[in-house]
Amino acid sequence: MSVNPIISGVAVTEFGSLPNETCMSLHVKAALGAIQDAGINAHEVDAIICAFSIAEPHPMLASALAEAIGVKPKFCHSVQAGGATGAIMTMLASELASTGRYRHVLLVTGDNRLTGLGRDGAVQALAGFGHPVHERPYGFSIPAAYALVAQRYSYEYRLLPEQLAAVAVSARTHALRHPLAQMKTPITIDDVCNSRIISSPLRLLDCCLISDGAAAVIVSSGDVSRDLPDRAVEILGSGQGHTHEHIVKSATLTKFGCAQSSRRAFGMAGLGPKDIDVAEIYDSFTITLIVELESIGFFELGEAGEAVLNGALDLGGRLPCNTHGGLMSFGHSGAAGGMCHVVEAVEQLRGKTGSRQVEGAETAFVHGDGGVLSAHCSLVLGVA
Amino acid sequence: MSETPRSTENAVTYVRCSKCRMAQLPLGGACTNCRSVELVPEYSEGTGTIYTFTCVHRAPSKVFVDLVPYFILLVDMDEGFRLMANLASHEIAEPAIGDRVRVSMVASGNHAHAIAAARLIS
Repeated sequence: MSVNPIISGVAVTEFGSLPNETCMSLHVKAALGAIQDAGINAHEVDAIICAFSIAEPHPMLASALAEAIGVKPKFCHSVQAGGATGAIMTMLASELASTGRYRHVLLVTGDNRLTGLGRDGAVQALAGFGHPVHERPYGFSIPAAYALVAQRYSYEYRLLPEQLAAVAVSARTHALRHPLAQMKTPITIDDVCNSRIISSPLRLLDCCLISDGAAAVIVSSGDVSRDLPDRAVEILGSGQGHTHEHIVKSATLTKFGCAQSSRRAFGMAGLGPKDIDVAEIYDSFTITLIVELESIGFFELGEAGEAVLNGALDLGGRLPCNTHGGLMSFGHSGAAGGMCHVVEAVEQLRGKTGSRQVEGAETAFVHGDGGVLSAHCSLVLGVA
Repeated sequence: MSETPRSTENAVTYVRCSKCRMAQLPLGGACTNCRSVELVPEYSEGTGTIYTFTCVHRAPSKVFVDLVPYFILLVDMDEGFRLMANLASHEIAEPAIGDRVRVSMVASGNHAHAIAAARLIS
C-alpha cells in the first residue's frame, strides 16, 4: 500500500478540430474516460476540480460538470492558473487526498478552443494575459511575450535558431507515435526555420497549436493502489513557484519560478533531475522548453539547445521528453494542454504506450507553466 | 547632445516608493517591493537601455493589423524601472539588445491614452 496519493485514472480525448463537440461534451468524455480507467463507479468520486474555458466560459464549470455526469461531490470548484493549471490541479488533488477526507478526486480540463474561437479569436483572447495599461496597448500577444524571452535568452546563452527548431522537430517526432495527436506529418529543422515569422525570433512552428480537446485525471488516496488493474503511479513530490504575472514585471527573462517549483518537488520526493526517466514539460513555445529544461537542472545553462539538436529528448536520448508530442504537436486546448503532460507521464509509468514507450520508465517529471513563465508547478511521479 | 530642459508634456511617468525608494510602474496602488502605499509620481528623463525586443508580424487583434510589422521593446530606464514600449514608427534602424533609447509618450489612434515610443540614440 502506498502512503503517497496515487493517480488511479487518466483519459484524453482526440485533439484537433472537433466541430461536433462542445466544451461540456469534451469534459464529459474525458471525465467518464478517467472514471472508467480507474475502475471505479462515478458515485465514488467525492471531489471534482475543473479549470476554465475561454471558448465557452462558465462561472461554475466544476459544478456544471458534476451536474452533467450526475455526481454530487463533497468538494467542487475550479482552478485558473493559465498553463500551470493542470499541474496545479494535480498538486491540489494530491493535498486533498493526503488529508484522508477525499478518496477519489476527479480533475477535468478541456476546451473547444479551435472551433469555438478560431485561431484569431484564441490569439486575441490570450493577449488578455497582458497588462491593460503597461502591455496590451503595445500590441502584446503571448507569442510576442515569449519572443521577448527568446531574444534575451538567445543573447545571453548563444541559443541558435536551429537549436530552437530542434525542439519543435523533437515534439513532432514523438507525436507521430501517438494515435490521438493533432499533427500527423513529419517536419524538419528547415521546415521550422522557414516557417512564417510570428514574432521574431519565433516562427509559426516554434509555437504551440490551438486545439479542441480534453484530458482528465483521477487522484486517489494511497490505499486505492491495491485495487488497480495497472501499475499504480504515486505522486512523490509537488511544488510551485510564482515570481510575477506580467512580463514587464519579471526581474529577469532568463531565470524563472520553475527553478523553485522543481526544487520543492524534487526535495519532497527525495530525488533529483538525474533520477528522472521521462519528462513531460510545458512547451508552449520552443523557447519555453529550453528555458525550463535548463532552469530545472536537466541541462546546464546554455547547453539544452545543442543537446536537443543531438537528439537528447527523443526515445533513447538523455531525457526522453514530451513523448506524446506536447503542446506543439499533440495539441493545446487551454488547461487540457498541460493536463496531457500529466496523463502522458502516467501512461509512460504504466509501461503500456507501445511504440512511444520509454523502456523501463519508473520515474517521471511533469511541469506546467502559466502566463509568461509566471506560474510554475512541478510534479515528481513514480511507480508505486 | 546638449542637455536642454525637457518638457514634461510627453515624459514617461512612473512612481517611486517613499519608503524603500524603488522606482516602478504603477500596478495596484502599493509598492511591489515593500507594500507601502506612499507612491509618488515622477517624470522620467526618458533615457534607457533595451533589455530585449521582438518584431511582431502576427497582430493579436484587428486593432494592430495595420501596424505590423512593429517592434515591442522592454526598456530598462535609467531611473531603475522597466517598461514596455514600441519602437517609434519613423525609426528605420533595427534595434538591438543594449542599445540606448529615448522614450516619450505619444498619442495613439488606437488607444484612449498615450503610449511609450522609443527612438534609438545614435
